Amino acid sequence: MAETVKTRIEELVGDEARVIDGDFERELYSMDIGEVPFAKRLFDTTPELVIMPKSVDALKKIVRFANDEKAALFPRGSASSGLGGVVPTVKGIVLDLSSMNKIVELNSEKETVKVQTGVRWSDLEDFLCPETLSLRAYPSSFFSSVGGWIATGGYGIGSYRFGHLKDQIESIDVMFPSGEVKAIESKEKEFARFFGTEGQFGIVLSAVLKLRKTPEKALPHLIYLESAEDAFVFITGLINAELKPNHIKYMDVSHLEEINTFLGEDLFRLKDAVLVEFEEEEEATKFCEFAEGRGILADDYLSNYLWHERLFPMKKRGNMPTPLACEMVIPIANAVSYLKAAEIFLKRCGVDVEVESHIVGKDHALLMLTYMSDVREPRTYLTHMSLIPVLTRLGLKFGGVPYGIGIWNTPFINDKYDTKTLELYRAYKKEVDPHNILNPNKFFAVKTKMANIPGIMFKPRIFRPLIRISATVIPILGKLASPKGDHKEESVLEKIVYSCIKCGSCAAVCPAYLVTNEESVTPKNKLYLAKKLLAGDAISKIDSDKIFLCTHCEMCRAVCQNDLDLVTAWTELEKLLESEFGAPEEAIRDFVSTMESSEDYWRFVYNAQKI
Amino acid sequence: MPKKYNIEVIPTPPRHTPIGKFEIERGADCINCGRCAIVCIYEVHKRQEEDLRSMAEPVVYRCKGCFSCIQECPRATLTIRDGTDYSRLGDSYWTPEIINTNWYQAETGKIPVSGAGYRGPFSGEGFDSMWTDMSEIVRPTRDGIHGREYISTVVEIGRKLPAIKFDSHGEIVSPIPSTINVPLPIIFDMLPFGRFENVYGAMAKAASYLDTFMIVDAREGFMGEGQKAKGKRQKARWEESHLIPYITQPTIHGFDVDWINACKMVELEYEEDVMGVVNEVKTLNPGTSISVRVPFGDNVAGIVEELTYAGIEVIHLYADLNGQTFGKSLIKNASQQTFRKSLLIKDMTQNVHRHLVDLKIRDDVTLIVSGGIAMAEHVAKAIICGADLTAIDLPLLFALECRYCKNCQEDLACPVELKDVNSEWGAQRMINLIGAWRNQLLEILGAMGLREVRRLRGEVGRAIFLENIEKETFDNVFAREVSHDANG
Repeated sequence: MAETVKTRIEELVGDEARVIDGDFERELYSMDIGEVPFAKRLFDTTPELVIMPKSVDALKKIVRFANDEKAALFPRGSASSGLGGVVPTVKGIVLDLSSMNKIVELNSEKETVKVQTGVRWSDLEDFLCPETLSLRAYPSSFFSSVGGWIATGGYGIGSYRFGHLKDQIESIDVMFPSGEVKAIESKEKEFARFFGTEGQFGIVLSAVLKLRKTPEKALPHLIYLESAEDAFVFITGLINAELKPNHIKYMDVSHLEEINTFLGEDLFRLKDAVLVEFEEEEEATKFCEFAEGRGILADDYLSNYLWHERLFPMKKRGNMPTPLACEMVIPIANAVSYLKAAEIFLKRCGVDVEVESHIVGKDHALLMLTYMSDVREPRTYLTHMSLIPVLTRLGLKFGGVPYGIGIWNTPFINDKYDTKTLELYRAYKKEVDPHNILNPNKFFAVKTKMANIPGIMFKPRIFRPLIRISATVIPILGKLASPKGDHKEESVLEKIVYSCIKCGSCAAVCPAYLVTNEESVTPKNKLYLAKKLLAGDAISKIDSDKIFLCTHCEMCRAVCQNDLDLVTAWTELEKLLESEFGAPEEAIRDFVSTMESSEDYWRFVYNAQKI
Repeated sequence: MPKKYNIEVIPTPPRHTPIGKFEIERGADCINCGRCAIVCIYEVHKRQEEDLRSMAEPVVYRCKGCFSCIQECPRATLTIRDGTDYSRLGDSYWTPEIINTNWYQAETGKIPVSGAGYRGPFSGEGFDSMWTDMSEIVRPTRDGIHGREYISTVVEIGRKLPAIKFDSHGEIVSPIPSTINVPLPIIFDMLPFGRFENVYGAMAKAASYLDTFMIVDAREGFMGEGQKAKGKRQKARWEESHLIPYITQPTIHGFDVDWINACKMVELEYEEDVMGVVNEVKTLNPGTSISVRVPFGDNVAGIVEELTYAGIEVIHLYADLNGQTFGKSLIKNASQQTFRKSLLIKDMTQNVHRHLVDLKIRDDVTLIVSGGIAMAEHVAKAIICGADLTAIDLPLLFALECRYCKNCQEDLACPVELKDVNSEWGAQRMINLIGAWRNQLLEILGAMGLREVRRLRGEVGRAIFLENIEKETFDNVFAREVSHDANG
């Protein structure tokens, strides 16, 4: 079937879209940053085809085609969320929207910019820089796409001052499954439905973002406080004092400890801390007066270091490679109580947790609880994974709501939205997507393979008792199943394949990806191939050849959140593949000459120095 | 149309890494974007041949300091600095620039470029105080120096008649003196050092290819390529060769008859009674052209006059390696003070040429000028000063990578192992060098609107002389003083 669908789509769109049907490449589109070992057992995560449309017209044709054929569509940005929002659930088509990344129109007077949603925040900021304009709030995964942030969270750096993403967008253009394109203004009631609903209703094609003049200064201040309690008291005080910070972020003591370990130096005090960033000198001075006596102000260079690191939040911690996280939006008043409860519970399970929190408004905080596990040890990993819903469930008790839904948080859909909203959403879904082709079998309800028998678990009514059981059992299991950590890692490659968290920052700066537009040349996916190779899986020459399309420019290394020694890894990986398949000299020659004659490449190269 | 004289240049890489004017360092944060390789027109930067994805180490000696790569590098990771050993090359006359550009020409056969603009002196001593006139610059650019317009670089060695007489039947009665045609106004002189057999072999091959001549010291018994093996001098081969044997002190030591019989031309060291030997040679082989090698020194114009009246057809005037004349001449400076100073060939050639012109005997003799001819422009400038052709020495060694370190003169090891030069390789390097020089000569001629190099001889109107400009500019200032003196 895939063959004929492919031919038909190719006939339909011609050069206006790229159709990808290689086995390995399709596999690359079967995941996001979350490591869920059983996902493949529950769903058909590997799409039948991947299509990269290059124009709205082509996209329209594809969407209409899918609607007529009742084929599932899974639109995808940079896949830097971890809840399965972009992971296919049934055989279908993944729409890779990364080529729909044009900056359509800049209105310097009104300070707005219209962009296609495939554009990355980082590229957008680069584009705005010479215009002395800036984004308002932006996600901490700075290399992700505009569309991705619309569909998922919408909270990030600067949210305290500028609010949720939907407050910073004037209008969006949406394509419905029927192929109809509609411009929706922010005042219309339909508008909000597209934020955080993970592509259930339509594909957001473009958005008009509100901008602002580039701030003259970034004045971050780090304040050490004695405990989480003190920290949140401080934050509440700060909010009540009506100062105008751009951003407020809480970090617990283990977060700073990790940074010390990472830097190999005891730079930060081992205390809880709050990072506050101002843009006006006056406000910052007022703040320093405010902070006097309440906490200890850190040296400027430490504050600046942390501020710079805000865009690289996912550092490797300890010996274990796989991070697991629970993200919730919770009232500031309850944050400490929740953290305390969570800490007690996690301690019983033998898990060290690290907490970060972005204050996203006068009374809400986005809490991120992260802990490390090891995907190579399935039993431990599964135990650790099941802690996430327990932590989420716990958060609900304190008035929290899960940040995203995707696949794995579907049991909490009733908690994220009230009944009225949910009903409205269900009705709207039926209206705009009658054949349920957009991101089916997730968000509202999960439907798995095998007649949905495993999927029953995801039903909220069944899921809750299950969680209650795990909450009691895991502490016992967790202690029993603490990881052995005796993995032999000889080469750099072996060391880092499991440490990649697939955040995709590398893809944003990868010239090879820019030139070839092939997912398989991006660093994260090369490591995925390496992982397969090291595990002894068969790899085809075609896939091996793609690995060599790399200039060893070290840009991926520069942005790697985990600071992995990627370039050494590429040399090792190439050596391995060369001994098996040989180096594809002709492909390399073509690659180099395509690269050198690509305008985009040169634009990229000259912009890259800003990173 | 006669067949065009053409020198085929073939890029011939050096055996040793030449000392470059600049050093370029590639920093660690190079992203292998290849911009430098695209913007560099001198092939300093290239991708690695075995792995195109990475950049190769820069071939720094080719760098002309144009700064393109430095300016264009998106990562600003390239560093350029002066080459460490460059300034130590050569000496004050044979400057690093001269040696380096000759290397370049021998390697590529291309006209040298100076990189970031021409920083020529436009003043100074000797040839540096002459600028050639390029007012007709449109001409060669129309379709290039090798275009439809044929510019001849042929010169004749020998006496040229001012007029030809015919008898009543229309037959020529004037005895036509024999001349030798050389396709370019450059012949090879004896080498000051590096006189190895393979070096001579390279010179002989190059001279033969170029159809020019090389002067060899008859005492060294140099024979054409391959003859030594046979142990016998073969007449037939000698005629083919392009040798001019140089016979020192012929009045005392006499000469080898074989040489005279074999060569089109011989060169005799100047002695007071050299005419006796000349007559002897002429009787032996009336077809031989005879050149007398006269040092630029005191009374050189007088000697030339005397020899010309005596019937000598070719006079080779030579200065020392640095183009300085031998002995010191009396000079008057602006304030009429006299002092002794050695002159440069630029001035001495002019003196001799003028003297012969004044005597109306200039065409009776061919003047070969040598000593300090270091660059292509020196050939043109020497001719403008009055030479018919030039002879070169050191540049030929530069073609073989010589660094003019003078180690060999102190019995130290040669850094480029001149002794082991392959003569095929060496010949091609010399051919490349001369090819590049000739192209520059063509450019100069084309830019002057001249179509043959013979017309350039003594064409001082095609050049600007610094001393003349100084005179024109400042004479008014000093003239009052002079006239005041006169009145006084």
